[in-house]
Amino acid sequence: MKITFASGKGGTGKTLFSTSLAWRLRATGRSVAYVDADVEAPNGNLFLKAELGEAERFTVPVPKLTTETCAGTECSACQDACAFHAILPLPSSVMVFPELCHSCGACVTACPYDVLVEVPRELGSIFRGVSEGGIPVVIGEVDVGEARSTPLVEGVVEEEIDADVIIVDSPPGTSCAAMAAVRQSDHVILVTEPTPFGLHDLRLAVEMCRAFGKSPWVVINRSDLGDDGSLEAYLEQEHLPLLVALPFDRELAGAYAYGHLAVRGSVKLRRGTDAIIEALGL
Amino acid sequence: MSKRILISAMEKEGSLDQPMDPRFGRAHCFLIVEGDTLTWLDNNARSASHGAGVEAVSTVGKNKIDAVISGEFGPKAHGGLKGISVAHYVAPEGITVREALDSLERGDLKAME
Repeated sequence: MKITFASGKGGTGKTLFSTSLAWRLRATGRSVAYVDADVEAPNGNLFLKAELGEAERFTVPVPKLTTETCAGTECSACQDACAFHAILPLPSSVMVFPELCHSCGACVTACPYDVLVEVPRELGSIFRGVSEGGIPVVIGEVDVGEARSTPLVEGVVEEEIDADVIIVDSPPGTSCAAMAAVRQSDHVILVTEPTPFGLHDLRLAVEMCRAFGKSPWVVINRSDLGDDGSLEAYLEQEHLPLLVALPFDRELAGAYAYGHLAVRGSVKLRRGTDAIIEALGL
Repeated sequence: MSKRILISAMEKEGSLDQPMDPRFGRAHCFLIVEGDTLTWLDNNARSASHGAGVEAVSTVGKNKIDAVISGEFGPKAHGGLKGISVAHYVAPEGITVREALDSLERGDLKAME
């Protein structure tokens, strides 16, 4: 079973809930793994504290000429095939912009002289380890300066992991990277907060989930701060099940800031994770 | 034979006394000047989410331009223009199209290396 914690707005509590749930499931004897798919800023391991092995470099294919020269601007078949402006014909060769390349391979297929091949380009790393407490973790980390993190998100969520329950900590937002984390899941849990930004971005996240045929569940974090009722009204109107409403807790926030797994000390958070476990039928 | 010069501009079919568009890849439009002949082009690249500079370089190549004038060239545009061996010159923001063309003629504009 794959469960993804996503959100619209960032900073709502995906990592809090995903690491807490993983911990709680492990503590009750289940076989669970944690995947940090927030590859631009993975932070789950601050809490799970797994000793990570060596970085496995993750690559994506980009085009390269097999010859010194080619027909260049006389031909332009590669450029015509490319939807991403990633390849530019020069007078007698091509210039590739690998950071724009989406690795679709269209240019390689389109080249009438068969002089383009795909070569690997490093995008980031995948780290593995086991947490204190025995939770296998898989962490994706994209290289600084990379514009496209989606392929690495796909890479980590598709990793083979030996566990009954896989918890995926998604990137925030509703861009391609978040979609990649959500689309392969069995369950999606959206973490939100009762603020206008929270609600605005939740609507987008719900739309994203439904576009992939997922019916998300909702968790409200900091539930006692700021709401005027519009969040609850929206959930009711859209028939979105609310699993947990966790009030703001300064002590919990403090523990989190120190990298502690707050669920070990917070009764309310533990009840929250148990409610999620029950909803999942685990 | 006159050089074909491309300059980024703000208003298609407008006066030459309009301000030069300081952007290249995301310029509103382009003006091609060859002697007394003026040709206006839309810049289709300007709303591309990525690779606007690359597509603008393509436009330069396809129109057989000898020199480009703009306010600034991003790294992909710069790399691309170097790749197709087209000299590109930086003119100060606020300058009009006419003034920029005159400056180029007098040799007052600096080419990007």
